[in-house]
Amino acid sequence: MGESIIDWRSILRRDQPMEFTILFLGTAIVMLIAWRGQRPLALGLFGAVLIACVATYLHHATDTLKLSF
Amino acid sequence: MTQTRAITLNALSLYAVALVLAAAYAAQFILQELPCPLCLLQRILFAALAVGPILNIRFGPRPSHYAMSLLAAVAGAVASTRQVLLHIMPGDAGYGSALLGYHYYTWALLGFVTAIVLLAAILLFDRQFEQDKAALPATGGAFAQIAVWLVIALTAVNVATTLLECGFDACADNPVVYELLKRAA
Repeated sequence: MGESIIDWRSILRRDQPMEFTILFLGTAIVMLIAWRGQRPLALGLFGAVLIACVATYLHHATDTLKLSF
Repeated sequence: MTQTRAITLNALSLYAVALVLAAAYAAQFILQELPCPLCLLQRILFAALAVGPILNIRFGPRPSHYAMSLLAAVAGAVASTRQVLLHIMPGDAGYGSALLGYHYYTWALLGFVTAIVLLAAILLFDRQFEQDKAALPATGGAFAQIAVWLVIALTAVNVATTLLECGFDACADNPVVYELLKRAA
């Protein structure tokens, strides 16, 4: 049997794998729920996506600035 | 401002978000410039701006819907300011190419600040929040429906292209190849 191109073990070990893909997917799902589903669910999921965005930002914002003086 | 007019303005704002997402794609595919992690985050927050207008079109304008878009706009302004500051040193060429003298993250900052100002301005009109069932078709008419599906489609396509760019790993700081295509080759 051939080896899968998806190495799940190494993916799960890594720091924030697929973070942006998941955030886009979350936003698309929130939009669909806002358009077709229940309002409270859309509001709650929107809050979760926004918090995840802020967490992702903070994760990247703590990287060392590579300034060239 | 009547509820009908407010819904039309919300539909227009969705077309504006769609235009921003389409322009980002133009840079990505025509100029062959892959978006960096902070660029992707700004795109996500532009898409998140659309959730408030979608709710306004479906359920009628409410201050809470505008508040959602305001929160997304503030988060986007913070992320784009961070990227502007990353490249503010004299001699720094910036990330990617410039459009009309400004890099995309500078345009993004201007876009998010404009969104904040416009959202605050539209909140000034109280009449849109009064119950007016005669003026409110549940889905806002064809103009609004097309706007909603356009934004949803562009966001869904971004899921696919981000997966293509970043693969199953964390995204590269300076992406130059589509990870998933490289992996498959």
